[in-house]
Amino acid sequence: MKEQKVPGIKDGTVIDHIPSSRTPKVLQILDLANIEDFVSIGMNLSSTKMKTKGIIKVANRKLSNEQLDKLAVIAPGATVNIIKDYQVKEKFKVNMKDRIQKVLRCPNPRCVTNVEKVSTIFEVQEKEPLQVRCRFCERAFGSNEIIIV
Amino acid sequence: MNFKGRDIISIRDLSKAEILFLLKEAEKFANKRGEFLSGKVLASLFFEASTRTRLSFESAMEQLGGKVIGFSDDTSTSIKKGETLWDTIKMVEQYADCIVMRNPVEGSARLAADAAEIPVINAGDGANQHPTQTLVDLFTIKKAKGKIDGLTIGFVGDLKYGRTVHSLAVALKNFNVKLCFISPQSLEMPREYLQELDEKGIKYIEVDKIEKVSRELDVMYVTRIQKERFPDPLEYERFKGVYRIDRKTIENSKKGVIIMHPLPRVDEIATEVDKMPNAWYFKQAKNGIPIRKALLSLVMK
Repeated sequence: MKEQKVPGIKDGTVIDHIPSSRTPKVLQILDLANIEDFVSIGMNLSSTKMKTKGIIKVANRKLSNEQLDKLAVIAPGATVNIIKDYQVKEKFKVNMKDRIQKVLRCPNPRCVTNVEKVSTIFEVQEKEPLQVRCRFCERAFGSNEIIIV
Repeated sequence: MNFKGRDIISIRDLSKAEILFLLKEAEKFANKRGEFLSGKVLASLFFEASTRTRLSFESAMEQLGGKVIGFSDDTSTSIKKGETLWDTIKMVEQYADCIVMRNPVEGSARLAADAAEIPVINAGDGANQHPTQTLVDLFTIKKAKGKIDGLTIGFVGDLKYGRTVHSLAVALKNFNVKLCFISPQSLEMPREYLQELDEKGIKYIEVDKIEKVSRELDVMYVTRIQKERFPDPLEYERFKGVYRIDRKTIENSKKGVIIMHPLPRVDEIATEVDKMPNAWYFKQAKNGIPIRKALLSLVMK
């Protein structure tokens, strides 16, 4: 039997192949630090695909579409496993869309999205390394500049 | 090509074919007057003062028989009472057939276009876009040189903050041109625009003196170097002479070079240049009318 690095869950979601150092960020962004369900976290785990990876297991929860979009931005390449009765029911890679809606805040303080009540929209120009352009003020931002709401 | 109902928000939204089409239409509209837009109402919403742009839009509308409503600064609007831009636009569109808006908030024109069913034309949204100015610039180059492809175009002065420079450079990405950026290091063209040029394979060079490239330039697009951009007033004094165009600069340049400037100028171009055939900046200002007449007609008719 395969060694279990992080204790398994009966039902819920496993987020795998997170770039290890981003794991705490994923917890924060998905707001998993303040829930009552069981959450287990592994970091600096060895991986065949990447040097080290992080895994997060959350019991009894599915990620919303918005959460999946956020995950795609902070942890491109992450895989999501939906677990039912200890079995992997569904498995998919997070998918960065060509357009990111709502989940980012525009770093430009003079952008209308920071002045009026309006949801942000960013066009993805480059996926790796991430580069996006605000649909409103048209400024381009790299992954070190973007702000995840 | 159909522009009816279309918003004109950013030069990035226009393809090369569309730009060339608009320039051709502007040519047709240059001397057109009369009742072409009679019965149509333009809402001219200037949340920030602008003489040139506002007057040329309003004149263009009047020349085609249309009427103009609106305001020329934000002191008398309900925005002051806390109304959102969205609501202001939703209200205004009940009274007009087209909206022209200048607003200092970047991206506000895109938001206005999202709100309005009627066409919105961006007359400047802060440091972001001013697409009709860019079309005027392209129209001027085409009129003076008969073409855009194949030209070498130099930008002189404050390239860091110059919105017209950024916007024109973005538009020129669509053409087969060579660009020269001539500025002090502290006011050089921002990386992100150069990166866009690289992606399109546009050739450009960056230099700090006009003399280094003046023999090659077909167009010199001069901008104002603003004193307040310099932390040290001495530095300003040093630079302002270096980027000044006078009779001698032109005599030492390629024959037939045209001098453009979005105006207002301070002293970047000596007045002795005004009478030279190379001076195109006042004609450039005049070209604001045909471009705006063409745009207003195309989006409303």
